[in-house]
Amino acid sequence: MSPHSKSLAVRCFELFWRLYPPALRAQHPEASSLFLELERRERRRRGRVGAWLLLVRTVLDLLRHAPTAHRLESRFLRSMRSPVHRAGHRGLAMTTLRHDLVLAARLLTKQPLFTAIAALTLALGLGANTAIFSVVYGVLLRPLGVDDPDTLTYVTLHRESDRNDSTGFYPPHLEDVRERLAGDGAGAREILGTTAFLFEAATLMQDGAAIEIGSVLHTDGDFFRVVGYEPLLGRGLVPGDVEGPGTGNVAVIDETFWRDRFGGDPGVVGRTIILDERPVTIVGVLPAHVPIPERDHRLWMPRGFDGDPTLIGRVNLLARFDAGAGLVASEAALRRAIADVEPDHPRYDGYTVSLQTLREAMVGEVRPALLLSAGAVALILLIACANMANLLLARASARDREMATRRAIGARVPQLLHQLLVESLLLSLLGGALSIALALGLHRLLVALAPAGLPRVDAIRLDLPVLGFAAAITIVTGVLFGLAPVAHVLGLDLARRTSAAPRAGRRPGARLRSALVVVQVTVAVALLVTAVLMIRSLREASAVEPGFDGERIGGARVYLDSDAYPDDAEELAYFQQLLEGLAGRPDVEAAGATSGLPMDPQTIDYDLPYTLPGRVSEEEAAQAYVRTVSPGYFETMRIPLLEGRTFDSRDRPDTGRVAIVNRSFARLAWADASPVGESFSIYGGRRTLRVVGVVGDVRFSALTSPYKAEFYVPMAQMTYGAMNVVARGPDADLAARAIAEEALAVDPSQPVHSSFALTRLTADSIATNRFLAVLLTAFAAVALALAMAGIYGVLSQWVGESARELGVRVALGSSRSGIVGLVLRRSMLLGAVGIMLGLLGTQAIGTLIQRFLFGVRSSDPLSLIATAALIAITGLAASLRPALRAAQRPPMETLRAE
Amino acid sequence: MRDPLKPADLHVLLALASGALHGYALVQRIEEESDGRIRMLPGNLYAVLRRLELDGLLCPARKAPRPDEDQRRRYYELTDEGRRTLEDEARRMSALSERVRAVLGSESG
Repeated sequence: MSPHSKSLAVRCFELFWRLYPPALRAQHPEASSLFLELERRERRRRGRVGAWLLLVRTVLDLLRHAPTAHRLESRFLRSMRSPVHRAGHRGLAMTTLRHDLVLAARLLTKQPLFTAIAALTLALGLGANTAIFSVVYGVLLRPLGVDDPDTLTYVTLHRESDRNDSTGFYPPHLEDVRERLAGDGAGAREILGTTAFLFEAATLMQDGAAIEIGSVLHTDGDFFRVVGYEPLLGRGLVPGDVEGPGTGNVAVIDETFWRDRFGGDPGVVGRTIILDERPVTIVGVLPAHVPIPERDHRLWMPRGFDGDPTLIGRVNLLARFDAGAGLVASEAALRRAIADVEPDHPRYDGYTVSLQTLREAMVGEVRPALLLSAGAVALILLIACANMANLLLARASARDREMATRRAIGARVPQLLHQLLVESLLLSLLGGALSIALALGLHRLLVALAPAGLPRVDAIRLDLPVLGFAAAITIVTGVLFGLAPVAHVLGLDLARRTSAAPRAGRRPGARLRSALVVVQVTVAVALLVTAVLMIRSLREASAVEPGFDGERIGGARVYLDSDAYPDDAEELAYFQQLLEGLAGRPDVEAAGATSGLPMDPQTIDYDLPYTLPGRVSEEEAAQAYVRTVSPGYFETMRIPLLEGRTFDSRDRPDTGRVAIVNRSFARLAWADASPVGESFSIYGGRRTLRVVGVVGDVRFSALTSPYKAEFYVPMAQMTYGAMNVVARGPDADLAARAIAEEALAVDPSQPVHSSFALTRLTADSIATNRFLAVLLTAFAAVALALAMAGIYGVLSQWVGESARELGVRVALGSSRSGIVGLVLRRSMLLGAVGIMLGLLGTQAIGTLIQRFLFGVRSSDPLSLIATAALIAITGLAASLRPALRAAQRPPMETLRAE
Repeated sequence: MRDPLKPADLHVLLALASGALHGYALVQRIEEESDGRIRMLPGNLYAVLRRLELDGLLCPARKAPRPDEDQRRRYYELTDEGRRTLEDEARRMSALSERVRAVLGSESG
């Protein structure tokens, strides 16, 4: 908080502090600095969210004790025998409030239809907002469960030229960087601590059989100190747990593991589990919901990191920086350290680091989509509010006579306004209560619909902060739409005082009502356009050819334990045996294995610099993604062979190094010439690969991602212990099961890590697009319905009020179709203004929407015209009934009624 | 004897028993003495201070803020009446606890 300007929190405090009697406030000029000190302390202890909660509690506390303070002050004044007598003031206020509440409740029960429509409209708006807020709060705002999360950062090692071109650390390099950071005197004071970690799969054994495979976080022992976890039981890991290179013999487990495997036994510390055939002692239990960084790991183990080459590019780094120094200075310090050690680590030449707070690293990617949803749902509430205002205005006009009578018998304007506000608040509370039930249902639906890969899903709950939000918007909404009838009564009062009798058809409030309908149509257009764009974008994305045929392909991730399979030859033998087993099964059409599977969020996607003979290495297209594949992989995936051959048994560890390139690689490197027979080098020229074939491009990370330059090398010549095995069978599930069975047949100690259906992965890759399309379509439908109800209501009201005018017109010979036309023209005018404003508004936020779109522009004329037409048609439909009613009324009846 | 003190009043008086304090220090002292269970927020604090002042149990102290402190700070101290009330309360509570112990003791015995 800046000491120079008053923070929002202090301003807020001062606002509510004004509720206290002036004498008491004068006695305590230091009140806001006391609050400021409390707030700072809370911020230090519990972070930003804690500070905000303190503000909320403080405001509630002020509200609660302000009446006491006033009572005390009046007692004091009385004790001074002051002539000022204030006792009973509050009592009077209470009586009025109770009286108004009774009156309002009676009114609402007397008009059950009106009350039901109003409450449902509000419940819809409020419930949808609460449900979306539960997601926004859970994912973006809920505390992470670590100390001061704003100074804990995730360190990304990436090329200076491209932030997205990142890799992991390699322990010897990292060791030098950390030494440089800690260095005596010359060290970086900005960085308070760092910790290295990586994820490994491990097999939990019981009675000699594998019972579970899960992800384990391996760390250097500083993790718990740097992150600041509080264990539920026992202790966290400490540097002393690391005993030389490799994994230590202790582990911290999380609460869910503790409950699943030990039934929550409080004596779990000190007990032993068998992990990858080794006994491991449990030293502590962490609370659930803090698997940070986001990964579904349930175990933490110490590990000594050494120069093991399999660790190249795999180690992650967290850094805790000094809040006083700030993120930017800390990043600069870390960058200096990286630059300093560069001469000793040529591999990282041209690399630098960026710091991201942990929260940003975890949820930064989904934030825009969530905020878009929140914005859209807030618009729904706006429409609901406008509808309510319209309903109340219509009713207020009908109550003009009542109000006038009450004025005549001596009610003062403030009393009338008080009662109107009490009525609208009572209505909004009714809607708010209903909305909670609705929000509960929607919240479940949202969690079920949440796109794959949405972080922190387990933090999405409908709990106190979310209900607090619901209460706040309920009250704000009630006041907001309650202002409409207030304005109406004030207008009446003004009219009465200036004795300007309202003319027919120009009643006060009529213009406001029309304006509200225009707002509704505007917002509905904006939402509908966005929804239509999202749907078209989803269709475009779904229609993209991925470059392979995923139908009936099941797959499994097989991560071989490096202790059981220490070298390439054994790993290769395992996978060859597994694929042979699969080939022999009648229920498997084709099978293959790859290190990098398209659409798999868990796959490792990495690129290498390459050089072409006779050309300089700085040339463009110096990077290409590498995948290791087995013979049969292209055939299984039906990735088309364009030229040359695919891999087969001719490609062995001892034969010439070969590669297959994709079409993008071929175009970039050899333009129109045929690459078959050409060669290129990797590993700084130490390995040369001869191209034997060209295959088609595939979409790799998602259907919406562009093609990349890729090359494939045979599994026999570049072997990995972690592969994705795919098989085409009668259906994806049976194929996946076949792989799991064969894997157990080859080696019962190495069960498959996880299984999947390839079409499922492909669909998940555009899950966010789908989620937004579904959500916004639902929102747009609600918005459209509410806006149409608005048009219908306003026109009906107008027809009712203009009965005399219309009757005269009919009496003067106007035809029925003329009357219908008159009413429709009015609705068209409102609709047209709303549509224009809505289309303009959509273009204004076009760039905002564009980032969520694929293959369609936010200014897409077809979408805009279709939306405008849809709104116009539904608008006309909504106007038809009032128009026909106006035309069918016998003129004499109307005139007689006057 | 007067009615039992409200918990908030008791804690404020207790905190002031060892010397004059200003608002923020009072909040901290009360938190420490109650092991963090009682957190007084400004709204409640100033209302309680005012009530105790009107009841004559405490009064603004003559102690001036230190030069390095916020000069607007007001220190409070116990009046003689306040100290007596606190002592009465202590007696009342120990009498009560003895009675409870006697009743429970006779039951179990």
